Amino acid sequence: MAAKSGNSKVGSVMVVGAGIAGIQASLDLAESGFYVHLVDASPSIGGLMPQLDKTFPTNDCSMCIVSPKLVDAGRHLNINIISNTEVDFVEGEVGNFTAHLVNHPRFIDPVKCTGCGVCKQHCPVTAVNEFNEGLDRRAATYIKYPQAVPLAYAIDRETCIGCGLCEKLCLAKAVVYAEEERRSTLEVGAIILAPGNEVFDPTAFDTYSYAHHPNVVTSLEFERILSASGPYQGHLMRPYDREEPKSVAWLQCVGSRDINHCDNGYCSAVCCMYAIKEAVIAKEHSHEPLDTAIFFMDMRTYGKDFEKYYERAREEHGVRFIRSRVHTVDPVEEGRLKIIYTDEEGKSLEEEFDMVVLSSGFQPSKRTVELAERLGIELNEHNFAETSSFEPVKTSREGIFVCGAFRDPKDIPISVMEASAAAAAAAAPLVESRFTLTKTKELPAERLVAGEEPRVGVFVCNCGINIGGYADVPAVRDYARNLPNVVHVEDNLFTCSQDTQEKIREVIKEKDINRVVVASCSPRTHEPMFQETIREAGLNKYLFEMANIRDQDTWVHQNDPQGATQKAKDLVRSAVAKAALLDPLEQTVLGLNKVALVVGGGVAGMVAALSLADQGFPVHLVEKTGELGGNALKLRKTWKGEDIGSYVKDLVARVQSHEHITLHTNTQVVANTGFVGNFDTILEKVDDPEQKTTVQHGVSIVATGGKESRPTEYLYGEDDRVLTALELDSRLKEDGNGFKNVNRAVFIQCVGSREPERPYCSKICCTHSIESALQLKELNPDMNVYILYRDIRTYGFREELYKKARAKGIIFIRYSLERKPQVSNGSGSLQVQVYDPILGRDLVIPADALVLASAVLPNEAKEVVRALKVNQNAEGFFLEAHMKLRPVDFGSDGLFLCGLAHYPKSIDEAIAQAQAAAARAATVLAKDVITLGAVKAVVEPDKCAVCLTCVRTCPFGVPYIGEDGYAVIDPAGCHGCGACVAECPGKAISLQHFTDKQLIAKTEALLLKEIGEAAAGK
Amino acid sequence: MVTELTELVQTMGPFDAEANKMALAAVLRTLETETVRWLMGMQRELTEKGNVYGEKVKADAYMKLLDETIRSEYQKSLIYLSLQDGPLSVREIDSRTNIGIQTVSNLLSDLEGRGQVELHGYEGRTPKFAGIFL
Amino acid sequence: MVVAERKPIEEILDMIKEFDKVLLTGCKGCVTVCNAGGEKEVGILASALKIARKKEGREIEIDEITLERQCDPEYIDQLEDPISKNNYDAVLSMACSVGPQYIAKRFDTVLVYPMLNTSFIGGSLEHGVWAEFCQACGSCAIHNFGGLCPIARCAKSLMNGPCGGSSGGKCEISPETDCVWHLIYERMSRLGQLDKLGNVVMFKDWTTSRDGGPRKIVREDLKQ
Repeated sequence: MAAKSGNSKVGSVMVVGAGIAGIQASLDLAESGFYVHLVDASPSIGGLMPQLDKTFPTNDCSMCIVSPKLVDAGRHLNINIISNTEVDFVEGEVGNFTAHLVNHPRFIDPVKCTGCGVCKQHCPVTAVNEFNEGLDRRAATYIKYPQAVPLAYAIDRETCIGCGLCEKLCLAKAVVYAEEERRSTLEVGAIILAPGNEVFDPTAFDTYSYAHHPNVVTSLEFERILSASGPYQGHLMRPYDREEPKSVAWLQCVGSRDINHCDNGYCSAVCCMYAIKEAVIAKEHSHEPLDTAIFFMDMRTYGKDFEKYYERAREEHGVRFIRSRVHTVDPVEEGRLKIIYTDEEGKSLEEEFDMVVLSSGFQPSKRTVELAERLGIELNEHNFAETSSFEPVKTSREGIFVCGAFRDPKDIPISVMEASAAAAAAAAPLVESRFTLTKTKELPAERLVAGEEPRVGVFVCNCGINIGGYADVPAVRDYARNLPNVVHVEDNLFTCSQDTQEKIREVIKEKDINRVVVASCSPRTHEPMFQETIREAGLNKYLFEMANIRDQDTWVHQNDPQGATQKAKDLVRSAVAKAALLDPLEQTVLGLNKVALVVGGGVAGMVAALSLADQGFPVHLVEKTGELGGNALKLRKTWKGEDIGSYVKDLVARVQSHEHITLHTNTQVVANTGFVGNFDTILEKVDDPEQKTTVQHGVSIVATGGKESRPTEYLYGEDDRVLTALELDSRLKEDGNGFKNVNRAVFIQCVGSREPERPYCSKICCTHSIESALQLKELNPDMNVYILYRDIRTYGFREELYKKARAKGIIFIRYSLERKPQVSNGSGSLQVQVYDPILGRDLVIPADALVLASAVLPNEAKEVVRALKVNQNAEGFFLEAHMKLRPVDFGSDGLFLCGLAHYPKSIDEAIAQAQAAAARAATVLAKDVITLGAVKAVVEPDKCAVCLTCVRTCPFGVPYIGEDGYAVIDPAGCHGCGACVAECPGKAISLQHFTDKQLIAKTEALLLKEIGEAAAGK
Repeated sequence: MVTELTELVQTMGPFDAEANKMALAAVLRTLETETVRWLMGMQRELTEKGNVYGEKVKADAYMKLLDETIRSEYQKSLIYLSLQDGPLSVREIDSRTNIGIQTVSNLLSDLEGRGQVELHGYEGRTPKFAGIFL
Repeated sequence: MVVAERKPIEEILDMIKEFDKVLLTGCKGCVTVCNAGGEKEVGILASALKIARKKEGREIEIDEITLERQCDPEYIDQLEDPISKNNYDAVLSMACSVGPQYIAKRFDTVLVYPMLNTSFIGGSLEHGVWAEFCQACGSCAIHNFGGLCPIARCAKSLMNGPCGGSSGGKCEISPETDCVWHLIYERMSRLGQLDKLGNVVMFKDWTTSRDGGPRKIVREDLKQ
């Protein structure tokens, strides 16, 4: 560890809270040269995400998308997970913090514990299972869920009676009753807080019957009911009698937008989407048709692809949406619930439901608030961390950053973006200490096995009793002994334990083993670890094969030990057949250009460029026009009232004077070749194509931005009094007082958005219009201001503005897509006619000014799409690699995006995403080499018929026909998916590590019944 | 006290072993449950000598735990045994065991977790649970 | 290129029903490019036939070999070795129909069966879709038609404009078939050559096409 001298900054960061945001920030930091201490108060990392069933808008299984991140974090050499620990206080300053931690005892040693579960099976006492939100119980010795990282149990001291049974039964000798609370300290350079939120507890809402009625549940309880790992194994059942409900109702805004029952006046931002998702998924899980009804005030589906999700739920899945705030949920007989509500015409209606889900909002927990107070972090009035729009991840204490739901309630993609942004922000002051505290592994030379006969070692695992308790492991082991090419067999209690790794390494050397088969659990979690072990013994890591005889065998055939044993033998035989044919593969190591290219000089582009440049990386910033600033030049203030003009001026000045930024204005990208770490891009002056520049760089960030659309309705362009939102802004900027004579101003929302031709929400317009409306009211308090809307989408703390607007007398009138307002100026005066659903009649509003909140469009950027070979979605926004967990990455490595080019967003979100793109780019640029995996597609030129099939098939656009007249697949770009291998009509392409020969051998061996046949080598 | 007991027993009438067959079997199973036996066996040590943490568990708290455990194990055994003749719904289990619908629903989770009960199928919207008798 | 597709499996099974041992040959030329008879298709057909025959209880032995092309004698010679060393009941060819003919010529006493139906000379429209573009009429005049061929692409091979069945840009034989005369007209307008369409194209000399008998091309300067 670097000695604390004068000015040297500590090259490590502490991340507090290991939910998805904490994990993302940790991974980004660890990959860019910093050692990370990931601290969490619970026994395992993952936060709330593992409790969810599916995630919107992709309906991906939550556990499936989060567990690779959990495994990565758990395995990472430079991430130190400190579980069961809280932060007491922090002294020092940025660069040199000393964090004082309180380590609560787990009573089980996580290093020794192998997660076998014997302790929990025999533990005599139970407690409420918090992971399943109280729907069932768990033992005192418990693990949150089977895929937890670290994979170790913990004892809940409060429930435990100290009977000593678990210690007696633990075969790994991991139980330590004597463990006590410890205090420890960490020396770190920066701190990131990602403690998340708790779900609002609706017990106080006595009219909803939540506290006593089992069939009234919170949304999180419903997620557990839907989840295949939950108390009902994913069967849709109501808690009372396990009946499949005929109808389920969701009540929105429970614990949000409510200053009556609770103090949470803000919007929790995600509940509309999750309610729709739960309704859609619930329909999927029920055998009989399910009626779902969502009772809401405004439907806030403002994110990327959210509006389409809402549409599909309504049109295709038949989810009912009822605009009404429900006051009471009355229990009736048979466990059913009655809801009385008023429809828009004022009619009172009554419906009975089998279950009611309360869409609970989010708030910081008491523990989080106390933590913030101890750390001296300023909180806003709702107890969330106070941050500014221009520095969205900075807290009031220098060197301590914040990301995720603790900043404001948000969904997973934005949490992940903010987490990466926080990583960039935390790295910035510590740049000089990069790689000072990180660990590297020394490996022995690799033994060359070419030309040797295969000598296979088979290691069968008992996994405590998970395998050994159901399958006859010694029999499987002895069976393996007689398989072709096997020279060594053994079985172990826990193959993944440290001591077994030692044993494996020794026996490999002792018996000259050159292929290793481990028959145990899932390669998803353990393959990399075993690969490391055999590499440490001198074997190439690709000489390894796994047979999953747990998750795919004993865990699903618990009632058939004989069958399970036979299946284990089949799986081992199959793995051994493939292992014998495995070849050592070399991972290509390439150098890289530690230079970044940023396309787009708006706020997002500039922030990304500055973030990287501040870290010492040279950046080429390319801007098509002659001016930096983009759309921000037209904006006045953020919704919080911060001055955008001066911020942009500052930013531009910093960019122009930065020693590491080379500015290319009036320039565009015309061509690009290469792959991550080694790109060549040709730039051209827009007005002088002869003037070309070539830039060699390692990463590209796309920030090509967006623009306001020109409305084609409501007399826009035909009448001077009709303006767009930005036109209003610019009028207000130059001549604010001109509006003193305006008596009536009307705003129309959703102009050009949420329409069949443009089925997305432009996200920022509700907030912007209200903010402008308030500005108008300030200039002329007597002005009548009307806002005609379809849903008011002032999400998060922006809800404050909505409240303020109503208080100031701004009138909100709802209209529907089927009955849009009519604007006419026949008589000389501008008239807006709109049907008011509450009054039940048309209103004619004479307007002195009509402001249209028109859609936000992405800039076409065709040349960028072509040059960088990136994709856009149907609406023209760039397509990220994965909507939830990789929101700033493109599918191809080394390419990132941010800003309006990704989707409409407010300036603070654009800044966060830009910082996130910079953080992600830094994980590439910080390294000295790029190491490619070896599972790649390889072309045999002689067999290539140059038919173009692979070129057309590859989802990543990697193969091309080279000068020599055959298909070329660059290993740097190849993702090893195997699509081209399967499609090639000439069988010219093979996939390393998954060759036809290997897979045919594996399949034939699996289907063999007699060992005799196997021995005969058939 | 013995008189009270005798009088109580007299008012209850002769014991109908046949009608209470399932209840008796459940009692037997409960007494054979590892958790119950372990808790009963450890009672003295944990309340008088001290547990692995060096603390004495309060006698009344232990009794309460033991009571609750016995009750819930008994109810679980009842549920399990009620499934002897074939799969039943929650309401059917309740009508046979009189445990209470909500309680049956809760305890089923435990039994499913232990591999003693599984979801057998549906009759319309009503799930039927089957006991796993090896 | 020559575009072909594999015969229906029932037809093939019928062809080989008397045989117990066959040699299945593929071609790396056109049929690989149109995914009909390359090494992969050979492997797939061999597997399918083996499975079908196993189901019938009459197993069949199938050897596989894919030649560079089956329209040059030198490549056909490569079959000498396997054919002489094995007692094949028949040789099956997955090349275009030129292939089986070459094999039959070279191996006089061997039964040869075509596995493909050779359909047309054409090109790919998108991956997996091919269309006919050329009828091999022997005297190409597409430059007179804006770069399109009415011989191949007009159902009636008309030379002087569309017939009355052209409607909405489509041929009357099928709503999916473009009326090539419609396309010719549009293209020639864009090229500014509409006046050329005014010239009447006289009846074609079909002797250069198949109508004149099977054709042969001789390059005296290349002939040895």
